[in-house]
Amino acid sequence: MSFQIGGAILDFVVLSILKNKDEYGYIITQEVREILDISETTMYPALKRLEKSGLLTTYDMPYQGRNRRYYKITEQGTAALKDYINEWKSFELNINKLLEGNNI
Amino acid sequence: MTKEQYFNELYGCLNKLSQEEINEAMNFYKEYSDEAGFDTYEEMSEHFGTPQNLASKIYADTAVKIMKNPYKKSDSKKNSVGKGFLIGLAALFSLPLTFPLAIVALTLLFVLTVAIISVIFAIGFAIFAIGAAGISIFFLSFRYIIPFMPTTWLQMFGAGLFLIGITIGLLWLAFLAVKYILEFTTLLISKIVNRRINHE
Repeated sequence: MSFQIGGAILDFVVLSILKNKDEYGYIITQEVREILDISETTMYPALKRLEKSGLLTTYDMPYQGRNRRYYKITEQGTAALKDYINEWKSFELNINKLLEGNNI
Repeated sequence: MTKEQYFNELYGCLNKLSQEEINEAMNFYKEYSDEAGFDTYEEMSEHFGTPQNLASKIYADTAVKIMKNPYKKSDSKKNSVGKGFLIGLAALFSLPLTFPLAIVALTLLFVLTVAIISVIFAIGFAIFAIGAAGISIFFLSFRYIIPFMPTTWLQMFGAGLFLIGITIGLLWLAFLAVKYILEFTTLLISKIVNRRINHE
């Protein structure tokens, strides 16, 4: 039994990871999988969705004869991340209140 | 079997998407498998599922993405519900059709067809009846101008306009109902496809 990993939490985690550095798909997936229990095919639609929404942009960098596509957070993405952080903090506060209130 | 065969099969399954969407998906997974060091078809299947399953997942997510964009309120959604629904159907039927899944798919389509036809008949009938009444009263009203019976004319003119207004309202309602049914069904299909893939 575990918490429902909805699209919003996934977006939140991805945006947080890319907050201060750009990364390519494989690395992003590994880092997200350290935090969330998702399959390796979940990242592609999430990254595409964030890109199409204007929260991320991409650029290519060659590496050892192949290509790496890097994802970078945009201004809009940074703003969305701020919203997520606020939402998360208030969520955390409410859960803690609930647990303390019931002396758990 | 080789990695290249995996991608050839995947390419074959993705043919219902645009060339751009196909290339994007293929490039992402090629890059990922290079970075991860996957060498064989079996390794790829272990991590991504079969090419058919991966293709289904890509279709399903493309369908939902087309319909719903939580970050933009002012998207032009005119043709998106229809397109999303069609891609959703492609997702459902691109899965290896085991017997139980085929039953689910056909039931879903049957219920959907019945729902849409019912909506069309119910509202369509109302629209036709009220619309016809409205238009005929509207035009009939002008008969009363010549013999100069303005009150009668005004009443009928007003009644006609009122009924035509209701007709337009009902047409809009019918449109919304069908759109909602399609959206709902596409999301349902997407959930079915994802659940099915994650249980393999």
